[in-house]
Amino acid sequence: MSIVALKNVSRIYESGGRKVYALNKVSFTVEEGEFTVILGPSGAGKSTLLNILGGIDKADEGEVKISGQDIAALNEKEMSGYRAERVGFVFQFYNLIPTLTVRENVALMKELKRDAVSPDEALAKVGLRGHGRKFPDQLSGGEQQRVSIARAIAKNPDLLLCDEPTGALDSETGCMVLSELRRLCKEEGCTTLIVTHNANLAKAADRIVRVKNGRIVENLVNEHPVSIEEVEW
Amino acid sequence: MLIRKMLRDIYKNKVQFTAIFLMMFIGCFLFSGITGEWKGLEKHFNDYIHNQNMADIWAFHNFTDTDMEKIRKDDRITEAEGRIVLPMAPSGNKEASLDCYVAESNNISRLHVKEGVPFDSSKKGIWLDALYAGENHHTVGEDMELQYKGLEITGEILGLVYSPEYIYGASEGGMMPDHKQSGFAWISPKLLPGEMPYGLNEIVVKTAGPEKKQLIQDILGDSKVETVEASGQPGISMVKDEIEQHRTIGTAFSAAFLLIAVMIVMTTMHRLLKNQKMQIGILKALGFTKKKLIIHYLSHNAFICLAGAFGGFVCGYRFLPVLIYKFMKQMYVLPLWEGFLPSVYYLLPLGCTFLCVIISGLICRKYLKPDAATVLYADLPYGKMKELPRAADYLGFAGRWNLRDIARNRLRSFMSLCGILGCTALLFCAFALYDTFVNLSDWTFTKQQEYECKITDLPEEKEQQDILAMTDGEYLMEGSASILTGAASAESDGEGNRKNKKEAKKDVALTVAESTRYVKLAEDLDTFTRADGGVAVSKKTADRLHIKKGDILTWKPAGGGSYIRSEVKAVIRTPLSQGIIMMREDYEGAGRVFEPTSIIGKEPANGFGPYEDECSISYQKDLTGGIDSMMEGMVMMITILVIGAVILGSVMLYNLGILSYMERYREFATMKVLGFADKKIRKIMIQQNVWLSVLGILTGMPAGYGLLQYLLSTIPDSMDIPVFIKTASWVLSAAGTLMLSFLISRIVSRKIPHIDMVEALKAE
Repeated sequence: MSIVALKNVSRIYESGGRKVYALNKVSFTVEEGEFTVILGPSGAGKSTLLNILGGIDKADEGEVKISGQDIAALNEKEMSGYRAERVGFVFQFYNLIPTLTVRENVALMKELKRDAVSPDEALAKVGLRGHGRKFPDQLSGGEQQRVSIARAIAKNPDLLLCDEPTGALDSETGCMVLSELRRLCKEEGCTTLIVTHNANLAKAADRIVRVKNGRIVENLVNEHPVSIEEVEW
Repeated sequence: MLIRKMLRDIYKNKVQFTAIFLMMFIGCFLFSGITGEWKGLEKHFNDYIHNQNMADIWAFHNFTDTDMEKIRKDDRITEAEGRIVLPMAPSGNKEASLDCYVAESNNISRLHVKEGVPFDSSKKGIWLDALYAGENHHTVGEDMELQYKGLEITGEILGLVYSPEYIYGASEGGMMPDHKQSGFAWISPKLLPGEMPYGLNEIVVKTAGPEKKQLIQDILGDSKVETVEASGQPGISMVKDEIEQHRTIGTAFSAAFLLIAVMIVMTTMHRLLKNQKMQIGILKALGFTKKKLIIHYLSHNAFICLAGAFGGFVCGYRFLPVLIYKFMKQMYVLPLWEGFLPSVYYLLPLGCTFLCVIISGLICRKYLKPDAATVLYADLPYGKMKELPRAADYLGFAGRWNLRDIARNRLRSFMSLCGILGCTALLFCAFALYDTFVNLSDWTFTKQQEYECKITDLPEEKEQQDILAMTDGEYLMEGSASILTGAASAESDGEGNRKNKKEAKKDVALTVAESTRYVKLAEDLDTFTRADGGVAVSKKTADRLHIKKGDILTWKPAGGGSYIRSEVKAVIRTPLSQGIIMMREDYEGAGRVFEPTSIIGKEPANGFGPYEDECSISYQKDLTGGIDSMMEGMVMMITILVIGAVILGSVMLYNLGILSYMERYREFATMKVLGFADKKIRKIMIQQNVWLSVLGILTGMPAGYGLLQYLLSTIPDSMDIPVFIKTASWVLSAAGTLMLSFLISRIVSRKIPHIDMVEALKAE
């Protein structure tokens, strides 16, 4: 069974008195453990897609099944539970809590999920052992993004959703962060979906989903993904 | 275009700007209101005593015509008038007592005519206290009958008048004037029977130089003459005290609110400029000069501050003096009650606005100084975070988060603390004032003074014995005494005679009781003591003169004689009559003659019979009524304090709550995205407010106690009001503040479910 299965999903906004389809009858699936890249130009609807998968936005039409459960039918409270238990987020601007230390930012997950990985272990996984007592603003952009990844994977999510995770980073750091994500996807078996407008990244993905004008224009499996380091930036 | 942007910015930040407006409004409201009130009081009071040619010295004794002549001829005296003063009872109102003045002229302490004709001794008539007349429905032209020990005087009321000597007209033993039962009247000598059985017993003078209490005694060479100088006249000293107190209170409260307004301006400007970092960068990039942008951002606060300050100033001056005078009129009598503000004070709204503009300007400079690129792309300094002590690990992540947030936003947290502290202090003060005044009446008349009635103007010895028997009463002697203080006291010789020419002499009240059966000596509300073998000193006098238990007091009763040295056996609380209290046995033991001025005792079941007309009798219930009237004024003050507390607490907490919410909006959004339930995030938000509330309440209680003490210190020196606070008041003020804080936090935290996670996470 596919871990992600979208069927005829639409997200409609009102703009100037007319309906604008951010997503228009989108259907696609993602298999468990896949490293998926969602590609598309600005305004294509890829972030909306990710938000719907993450339970921070709701589809107006269609089914959004995660491990067989239709999250479009969940109420607010159930949606919070879904986000807390099953989804990990990595944001373009890291979204760390500046008044908490690195370790405390990751330890937040313990508040949500009892069996969350210890913060030290999660930080070790992203190569930040020994940085736990620092505050986010004492770290570089790349390091902050790795803290964000550590926070996301600390709760062993079913889905790791990354919205332009390298958007605010230079290419070298971006490459490092993506390598980290890919490695965790493979080693931890965590299904990862990355939204990006960098088409070159498709070469490293197990699955490529192309979005344009709110529609899926391509959903293909990459039989021979290359390593992140081999991707041309 | 920028004006439209400004208006939209103000609308978008309406909570903060409303808070600025309100605090500025309240600050200026209080300032112009209270200043207008005390300035008006000062002006009209000074005008009144000046225009009426208020006396400099009052002398009391049985004077002869020769005495009068001696005084008139002395170079140090510019004017002198003699009077016969008799306490008379109006027929038809046996319980009332009027101080009746019979005099040939009234050039000193001239009467102010409200209705009728000015005093003229050649006309047959009565000039009656206008307030007494009002309460008892007397009018000009009607006849009035007055009685005094068999003497009956009937005459037409020719005028309704105010006297500058009756600015404060409380009767003996009372706190509040009762114009229905007491007052004064001036009687033309033409109304008197042919042979007047009484001589001059009061002389008033105007002096050439500074007033000197001993002057009349020196002129007459009689140390038994009792004198009061203008500064010791209750009406003058109390009004002057009131003016000073109102000036201090007005300045303190206004400054507090204006300070809060300035702090809100600071936080609002910081937040506005931080949030508009991108807009500032864009405007700069488009070519707007720094000067233009500074003017734009300054105008945000300038308009709001000016509107608040000007509105508050106008409303305060318009309404507050009227409201305060309404209650002051119960205490004091002046012909004109009108606020007054010198024109320079009209600059206050501009001054407040200018101050806020300067502060805003300094903040703006910091944000607008960098070039466009720096503003657009550089991160704002976030403020260095510090590691918390190990103990903070036990707080959990929410606790640590809140702790660091408080440390990071010190100004915001400090302001919240100030708001809660102020709210608690005002609430506590209001409840404690209520308790204290409710207790005052009960304590004074059931525990401290246990007599039911007091009879003054005592008749002959035989009749006095009769009254003593029917009331199961005791004699009481009340008068005044002088205490030598400091070096002067130390330099008096062993026999108690003064050696020091530079004397420091203080006049106080003297009470000599036969026992402590009816007049208890209370060390505090529950502890009663005795002063056998020495004297007791009232706490207010002891504090004023730095006297403590065990000290040796050098003093003498008014009316001459040498000084006495007595040990202070107790410092006691007594609501009225501040000074020396001692027992008859000790007084006579010191070689003094006990001369009773009244009898105190129980109210006879069958009334006083013939003594009703012959004596002045005051009943405890009348005095309780006086305190009750005082309570009415107090209830108004309590209401103002409670309203002030709620406004201050609500505005500050809501404004800062919103500020905190806006500042942490992105963090809350992130937490929501991570899966934190709204309830949990709301709890985190409320937790911080609860912490600050607890801290504010803990500091607010002592502050409230201090405020209470301060307010009580503003009551006239002749009164002492012991503080009494019920446990319920402590609990209620703490619980009230906590509830208010919790309620406001709940209201603010209701925004959490409406956080738009998608929008919040879009932009940096």
